[in-house]
Amino acid sequence: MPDHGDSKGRIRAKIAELAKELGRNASRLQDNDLIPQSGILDSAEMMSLVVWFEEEFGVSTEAEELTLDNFGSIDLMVDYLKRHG
Amino acid sequence: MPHAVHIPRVNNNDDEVRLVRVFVRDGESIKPGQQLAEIETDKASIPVEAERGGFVLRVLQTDDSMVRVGSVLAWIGETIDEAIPGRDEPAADRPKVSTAEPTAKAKAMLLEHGLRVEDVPAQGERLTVDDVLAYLKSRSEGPKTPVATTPTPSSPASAGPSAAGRLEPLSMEARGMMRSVLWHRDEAAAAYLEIEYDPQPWEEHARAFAEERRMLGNPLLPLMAHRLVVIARDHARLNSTIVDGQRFVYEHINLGFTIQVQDNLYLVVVPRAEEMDPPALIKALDQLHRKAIGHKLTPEDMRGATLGFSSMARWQASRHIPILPPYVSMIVAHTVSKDGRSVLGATYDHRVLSGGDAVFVLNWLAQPLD
Repeated sequence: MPDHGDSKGRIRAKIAELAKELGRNASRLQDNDLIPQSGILDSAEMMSLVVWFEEEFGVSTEAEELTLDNFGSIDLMVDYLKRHG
Repeated sequence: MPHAVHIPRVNNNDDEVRLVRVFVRDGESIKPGQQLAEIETDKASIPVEAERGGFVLRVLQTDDSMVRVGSVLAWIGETIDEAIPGRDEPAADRPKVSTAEPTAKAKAMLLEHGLRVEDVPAQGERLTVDDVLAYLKSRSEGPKTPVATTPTPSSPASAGPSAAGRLEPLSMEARGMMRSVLWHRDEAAAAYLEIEYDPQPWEEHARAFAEERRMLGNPLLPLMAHRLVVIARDHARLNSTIVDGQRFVYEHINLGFTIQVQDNLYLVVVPRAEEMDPPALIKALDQLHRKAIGHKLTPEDMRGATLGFSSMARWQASRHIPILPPYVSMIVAHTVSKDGRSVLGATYDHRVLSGGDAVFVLNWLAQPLD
C-alpha cells in the first residue's frame, strides 16, 4: 500500500527539485498557485511531475485527466490523491 | 552495427547439435533474454536467447536440422534496415565469435586493448590470453606492455585518438543518434536555412487552445508539429526520400518529435499523424513523453519517422541545426533565443527538397492554421 503521508510536503519538495533543474526557485509557490502559470515548471517538467506523482503515490492517471483542474496546483494534486489514492 | 547469434556448444564432444525450432522470423522485434531457438543433443535441450534487444535481420538456419556449433543462427540489428555484414559469405564459415567466459588474464588484456569479449574468437570453452594474442596478431596489432596491477586506461588502437583513455559501450540511444549522424553525413545532401517569425499569433492560438481544454501543458509545440503534418499532407514531396536514385513517397506521415529526458534525446514517432486532429496528436505525444520519462519507450516508439520536428526553445538556443533522421526529408528546428527572437529553421535533404521548398514550408508553418 503506497504511503500518502505528508503528500503536500512531498509534492512541494519534488516541484522544488524539478524547478532547480531549470535554475528556478519554487520557494514562493503557494499551495493554491497554478504551477504552469507561475512559470516555475515548463510543460516537460509538468509531465515529469505527473509521472513522479503516479509512481510516488501508486496511482494511475488517464491522458484525459491531465488537466489544470486535477494537477494545476499542489492543493489540486492533494485533492486528486484523496479522490483516487 | 549488426551482431550474430551463434549456435552455442552444449557438450564438449558434440560439434553439431540439432536445431529443434527457431522461434523468431526476419524483421521481428526482440527483447534481451527472449528465446530465439531451441537446440538439443542426446543429453540436453537448451534455449538460445538474445543477449541484446533489436531486430532480427536474417535467420540463417531452419527448424529440425543439424547445425554446426559456432555457426550463425541469426543476425540481429539495432534497427530493422541495417545491412548484414558479408552476407554472401556462407554462415557456417564465418569466424566463430566468442561468448565464452574470459579467464582473468584474458579479461585484463581485453580491457587493456579496448576489446569486447564478443570481438575475439575463442578456441576452447574459455577465452584465453592466447586467443586474445591471436586476435591482435590477426589485426596486425602487437600486444602492448602488460599491466600488472589494476586496470588502467587503454592505449587506443592506431586509428584512434592519440591521447590515453578507455572505451565504453554506447547506450541504445547513443547508437541510434550515431546512426542518424552517419546517414546525415554519408547519404543525405543536408542543408539548413531559417526564418524569423512573429510568435504572437501562435502563442495566442496555443493559449486559447489550452484554456478551452484546461490543459496542463503548453500545446504550442505539438500544435506547430500538427501544422507541419497538415502541410506535408498537402505536399507529398515533403514526406518523401530518395531510394536507389528514385523518389520514395511515403504512404503515411510518421511524425518524429524530439523529447529530452535527462541526458537522453529521443526522437519519438507518431505513426499516421495525418489521420489525427490536434487533440489526438497532443495525446499521442503526451503518452510517448510519459513513456520516455519512465524509460519505457520501445524501439517501435522511435522507428520509422518520415518527417521531424524539434525545439530548443526550452534552452533558449539562438540557433540549432538538427541532424536529419535517416530517410527523412526535413526536420524543423524551432527555437526562441534569449533576446526573444523566434526562429523556425529546417534541416532538409537537398536531394528531395530545394531551398525554396524549405522556405515555403517554414513560411506556412509560421502561421497557425486559424
